[in-house]
Amino acid sequence: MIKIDKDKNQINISLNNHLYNDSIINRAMKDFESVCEFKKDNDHIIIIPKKQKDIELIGYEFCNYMLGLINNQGNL
Amino acid sequence: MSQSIYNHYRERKIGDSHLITNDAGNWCILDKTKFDMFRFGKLENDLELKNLLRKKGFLIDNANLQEITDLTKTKFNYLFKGTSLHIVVPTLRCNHRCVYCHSNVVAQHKKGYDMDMETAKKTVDFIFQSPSDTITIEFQGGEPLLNYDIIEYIIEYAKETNKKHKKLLGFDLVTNLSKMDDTILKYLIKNKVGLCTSLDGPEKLHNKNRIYMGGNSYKDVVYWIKEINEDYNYNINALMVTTRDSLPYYKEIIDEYVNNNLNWIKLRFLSNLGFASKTADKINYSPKEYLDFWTKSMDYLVKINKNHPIRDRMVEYILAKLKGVWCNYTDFQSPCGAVIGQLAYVQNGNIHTCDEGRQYEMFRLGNVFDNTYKEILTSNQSCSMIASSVNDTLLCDACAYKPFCGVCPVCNYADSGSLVSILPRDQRCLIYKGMFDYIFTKLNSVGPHKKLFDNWMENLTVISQPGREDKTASL
Amino acid sequence: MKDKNKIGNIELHPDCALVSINPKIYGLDIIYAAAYTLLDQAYVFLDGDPKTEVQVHIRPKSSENLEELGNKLNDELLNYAVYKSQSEKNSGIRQAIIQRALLTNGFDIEDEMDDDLDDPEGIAIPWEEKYSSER
Repeated sequence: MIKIDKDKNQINISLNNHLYNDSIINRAMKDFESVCEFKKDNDHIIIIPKKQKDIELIGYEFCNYMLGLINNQGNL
Repeated sequence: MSQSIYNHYRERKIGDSHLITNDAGNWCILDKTKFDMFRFGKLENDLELKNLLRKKGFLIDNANLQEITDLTKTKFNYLFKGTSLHIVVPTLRCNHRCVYCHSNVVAQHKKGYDMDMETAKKTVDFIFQSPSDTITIEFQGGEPLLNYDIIEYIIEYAKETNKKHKKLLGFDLVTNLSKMDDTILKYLIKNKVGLCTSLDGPEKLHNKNRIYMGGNSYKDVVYWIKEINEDYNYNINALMVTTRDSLPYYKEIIDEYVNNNLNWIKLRFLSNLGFASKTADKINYSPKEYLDFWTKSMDYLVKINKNHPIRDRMVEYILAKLKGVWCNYTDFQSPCGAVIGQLAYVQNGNIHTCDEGRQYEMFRLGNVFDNTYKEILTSNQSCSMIASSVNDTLLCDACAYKPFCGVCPVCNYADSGSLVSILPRDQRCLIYKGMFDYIFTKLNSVGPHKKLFDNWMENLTVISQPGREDKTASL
Repeated sequence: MKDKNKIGNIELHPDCALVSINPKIYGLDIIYAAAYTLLDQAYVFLDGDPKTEVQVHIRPKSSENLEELGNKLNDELLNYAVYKSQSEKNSGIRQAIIQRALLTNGFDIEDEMDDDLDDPEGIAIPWEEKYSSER
């Protein structure tokens, strides 16, 4: 589930570890670190965008990015 | 194998029909009935269809296995020839500021951006280490004519070196023509240097895209095209790059080429390289917008072709791929040709994977002073780059156009920071798919498009032997 | 949830479609591939149990129709399932042809034995032969 908390300027994502494994999550977090900060607790991630205006979409873009990494795994 | 077995194939709907393709690059368009007979293995009742599918390698048996293997060999033949196209950058200085320039050029007055004689000599020595029996040296920039002395030196030294190697040696020059004069031109013609320039359309559009500090870029280009064609009776080609400003003017752009007696046009789309990445918000467009422009251009070109037989280069490249003849358009190769087909040498002797790759440190392979050709070709970095340009990702492998298409790791890197692109969003993929769809739709129709494209396919002008490049292969 | 509307395996919500997939019919690799094809049109999020039911949440990027996106996902599931099945079935013949083409490319065996191969840099030595002692 993706929940946007505008008051706290953060996005909460509950990821299913059977579908998004740790190596993909960690790789995506590393690739996004220029635009946001992360807090990770097992299958729960908090994304704090560095720019307020990014809050609407960055969580969704992050999930799409992970899906891209999963599909390109054999080629990376 | 005494009986036929099914070869691997891919399928795509073209209107109400089904296009099938195989790894050897053969293709067929079947109506629904025939496609169902094929895919459900019910070919006994249609021997004509069965024979066609055998001939095209969709059914394989002892009799046609060698033929299919030979076709596949032809496809990959370029891998075994050695690097034949060598892009040499005599200078990064330029007197233009084209809004889409992918070369990270510097201003004309800057010092320290020219190739010197020692580097030029070393570069030619390196080039002749390639085992290819064909060598093409293509001068790019910046504006190469700003360091004309080095061009002349390289040509003379290459000719001298070639007396020992006896390769098929050719030269090409990509220039904005602002520094051309009769002395230079006579020398280039004497040495059969292929000439290519940019013409983006009518004067206002051309000058908006190609900003010239010292004058009127358009006037220089059309003046010299006319001079070269009419007074010197020599060929010069031209390309254009499509920007957002170009989109409404497809007719005017094609008319400009017709009026300047140019035989073909190539409506290049933007890449995210160099200056283009910085000006993207002003000049870029969606793949859909570009395809709309391109298909309208093709429709117009077909319409006027009876009186003005101008060809589109991209259509010809695609038709050559469909016909299974070699044309060295690296965008449609897998592996793409970086390193194995072309190398780029910049002004300080650094060697890059290809022309586009000279924008990034990641694609720098070595230096002519420090490395041999063997070291460069067999390095881990070269092998990785070559591997990353194979279109074997899932979506590519499942795509009917895979046998005719390719990927560009440099463009992927420019777009996403990764050598492997996220294909559903990949601009190149969406555009090329649209082009293939258009061509196959027209080939499957009746009408002027099919007639013209069939004629072009029969009389291709882009064919070259592996290693003897179509002059604009790198453009 | 308001405005819930279910068509087959597609549940329509105001701002997203939820497609339920049986992983026994379409394996995870197929689900990933099919979901991947939607990345240009939608934001895609996977949830559920990979053993019993995987749910694909599809949120359109602009004005795409939710039901059409769900249908597209279903089409792509079938497309990639067929592709996977065919690829597995045909991998032998594909490999045989490519191997044969690459290993014999550029070499006419009889002629090679008569010609002196001018290769001072050793480029023509196959990689397998060159690096076999290094593995």
